[in-house]
Amino acid sequence: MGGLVGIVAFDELWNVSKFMYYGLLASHNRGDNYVVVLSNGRNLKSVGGDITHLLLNKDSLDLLEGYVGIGGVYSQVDRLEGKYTYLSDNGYELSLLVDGYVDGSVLDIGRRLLKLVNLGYKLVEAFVEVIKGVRGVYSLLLINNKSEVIAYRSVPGLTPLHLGGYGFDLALIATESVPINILGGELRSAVKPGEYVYISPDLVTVGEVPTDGVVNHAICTFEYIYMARHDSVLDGIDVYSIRKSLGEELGRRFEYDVDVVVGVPETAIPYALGFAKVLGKDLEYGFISTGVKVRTAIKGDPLERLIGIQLKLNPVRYVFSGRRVAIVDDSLVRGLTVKSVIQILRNKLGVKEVHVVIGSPKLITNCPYGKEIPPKDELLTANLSDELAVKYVEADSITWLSVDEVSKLFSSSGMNLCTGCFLGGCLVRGGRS
Amino acid sequence: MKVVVVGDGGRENAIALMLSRSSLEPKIYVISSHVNPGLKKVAERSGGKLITCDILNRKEVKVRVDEVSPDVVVIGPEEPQFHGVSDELRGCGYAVFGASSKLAEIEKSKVFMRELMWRYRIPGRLAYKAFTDVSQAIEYVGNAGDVVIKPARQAGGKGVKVIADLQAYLSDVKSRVRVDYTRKLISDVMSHYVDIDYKLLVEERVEGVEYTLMCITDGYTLLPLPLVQDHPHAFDNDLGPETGGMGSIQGPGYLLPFINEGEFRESVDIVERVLKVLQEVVGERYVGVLSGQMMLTSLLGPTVIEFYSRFGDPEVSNYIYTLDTDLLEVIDRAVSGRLASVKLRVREDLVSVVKAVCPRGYPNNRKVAKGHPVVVDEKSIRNYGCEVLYAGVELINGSMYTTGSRIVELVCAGEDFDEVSKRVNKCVEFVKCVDGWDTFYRRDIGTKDLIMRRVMTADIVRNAYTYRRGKGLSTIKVDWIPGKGVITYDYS
Repeated sequence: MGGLVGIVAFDELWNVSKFMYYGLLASHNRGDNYVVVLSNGRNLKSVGGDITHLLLNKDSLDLLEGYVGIGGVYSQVDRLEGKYTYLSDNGYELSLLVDGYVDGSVLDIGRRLLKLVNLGYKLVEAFVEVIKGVRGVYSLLLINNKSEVIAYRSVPGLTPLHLGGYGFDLALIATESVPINILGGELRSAVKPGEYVYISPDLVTVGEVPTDGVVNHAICTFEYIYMARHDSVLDGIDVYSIRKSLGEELGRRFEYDVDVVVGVPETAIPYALGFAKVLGKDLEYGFISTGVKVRTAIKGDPLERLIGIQLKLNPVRYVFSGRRVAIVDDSLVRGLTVKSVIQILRNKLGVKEVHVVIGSPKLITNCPYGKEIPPKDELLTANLSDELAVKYVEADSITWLSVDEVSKLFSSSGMNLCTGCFLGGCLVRGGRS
Repeated sequence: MKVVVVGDGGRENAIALMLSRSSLEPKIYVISSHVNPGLKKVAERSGGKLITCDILNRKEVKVRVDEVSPDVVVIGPEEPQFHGVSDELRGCGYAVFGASSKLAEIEKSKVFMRELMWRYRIPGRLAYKAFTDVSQAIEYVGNAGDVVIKPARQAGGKGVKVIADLQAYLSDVKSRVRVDYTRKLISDVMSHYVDIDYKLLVEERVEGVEYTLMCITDGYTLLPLPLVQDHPHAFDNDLGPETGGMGSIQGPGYLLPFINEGEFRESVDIVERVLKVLQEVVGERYVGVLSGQMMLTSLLGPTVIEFYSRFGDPEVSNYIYTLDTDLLEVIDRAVSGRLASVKLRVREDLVSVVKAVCPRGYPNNRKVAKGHPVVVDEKSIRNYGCEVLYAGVELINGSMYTTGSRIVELVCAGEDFDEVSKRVNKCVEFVKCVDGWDTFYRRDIGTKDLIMRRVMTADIVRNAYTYRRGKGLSTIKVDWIPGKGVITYDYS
């Protein structure tokens, strides 16, 4: 699962299915597939599929009715299995959605919860009892057919989770802050690591799941670098401001002379703005996309990735012809984007020089917590030397940020980052190696 | 001196407590619909007692008051005012502190209030439309857009629906909710009242920061009390349904951290002007409390949301530590028209926080919230320097039970909101339903984070209304329908 959305109406008059639809749409940057579970206070109903199908026939969610619901998006490389479960026992229904990595199975968590509920535990008590023994790096949403929802961000805090409200009528939960805004709500707070929020039409409580021992809290760097939307605020920090600052930092360490700066849309645009500002060069709108927006990095199939890249990056001749260009991207994963772009720029548009500027450190390992970073043998910087990388993508140079530079920027905002994919070690426990 | 207080909630407990501290050493008699343990204690300690009767029955209340023969009667809640209790007692020659039924229309009929404000062009008024016909009302709300739906009559603070409708893609869902809600409101709430023709009020929706301005008046002088901010959302982070108020903050001094001196004065001016025209229209002198439920809005600056013909509950509870004035003396002067010479003393060095503790089920499912046995460890609460006021609690055969509303209000004062708020939070565990029924309260009221958020909202709003005033847009609203022409709405 890549992104979660939860909606609870305090008044049964509401049907939240349309809210859920737009909430998922606002989470589309985090995955192409979706699943939704709604409750009308009597039973649970669910539906899932490809989000592009949902886009084409936006009323399909209207088949579902309910004033309480949870939903999520997940990418193709991820699998729904193990991230979603539905259980039913004697008229009691329960469903769980997870973003991240859980040690053990979601189905098993659900079974243990049901068992305790059957023994007479209140839902919150049962939840705390079960979850305190579950290791992992994840956010979770739970719903039952009594219109109760629990949102939980696991102790390591790697996966963001936010709480918002719409007037006197709705409580909203979302991985990023954006779906809360799109639903007309107001961001109220970030759910803290280890914190759960229990929401039902007649009670909202916040509490902590106790942990054994000391755990480092750290939020995933990749959330700020690539995953989240520019207009998101994660754990109180504007994603846009981080990206622009990283671009400025790149500008300070860039050693070449160029005529123009171009950002790879859309994620790298704020980086390019900051970078161009420091260089004092024009930022040009160099690439125009065709068709539906896709996030190429989280596509599982290599051919689909290539098609996505080619369709979203048609170069503007005027910008590149005969110029020395710095191309700014947020990250270098397989190098496919940069390589295919440079080929066109050199062979068709007659660019003079192409300097590649990357707004993050070198990726050297996959993510043990289920973030969409490919296996180590597919990461360009884990396998190729700097010199070879430049030759492979046919650039004049490549500039990266160092882990220290990135960490310094965040720590000035009081943030603790997980940089495992740049360093090769797990900063937080609970992952699978 | 003998004083009668009519009413049975947390507000009356706060009033009675303040009266009991008077240097006039009054005997306090409370006339209540049930036995509120807090009121009982204050009354008995003062040498008075608590008497139960139907407080909405003017004749019955009169008989009880006759038995006491008090020097002053204070009417706490609005419903006895609406039902003519003040009229009855005044008619019998009692000195009554509390609006007459005609003057209390300012609270009872939201349509009367808006009409009055528009007729006399009083600032801070919102555009509205009122309905007597149910089907017309339903047709209108279906297409009304970004509005607030209110029952036309004050209904114990219940029934207001605020539906922000700014996302066109969610508009059809909201239109449906408005229509369904209106139907329900008219059948479930308004059908109980036969004392009003209007059924529904639809107002333009505004956003901003709310605050309450409570004023004492003898009909000649208006004596503003320090501003208080209530927290209507049931749960932390301003989540959840609208309640009668989950708690309130006050201070330092007359202002709040997010309302400036100019905005305070403008608000007082609005209440003053309303008082003047209200007395003219009704032809009676207003003796009692007139409160403006205000909001600082980007549209107008200080804006009237509602008027109360009484103290706000829980807002008045904030004053038990910070109002350094003999309240009974003030009330005594008000009933005899001698308020002009009164100067209030307010503790400028203190801020106060009130938090209500509620049974699960409040406010929308009071049936399940009612009848749970309650214990309160008053001694431990006082050890933290806090006071407990009883609200929706009933004493039956020596045990306390919930009535379905807020159980108690915890009150505390100190130098710093955040510290005071945390101190109150520590006292919450001393209020329990012994049958294990869930209770809840707002941990965040008075915290630094929440006050900072209010300050930020107020700054945004202040920027916007200052801009509008600069462009002359505080008195007109300009609309343009392409192809049809310009429409100017006159708010002057």
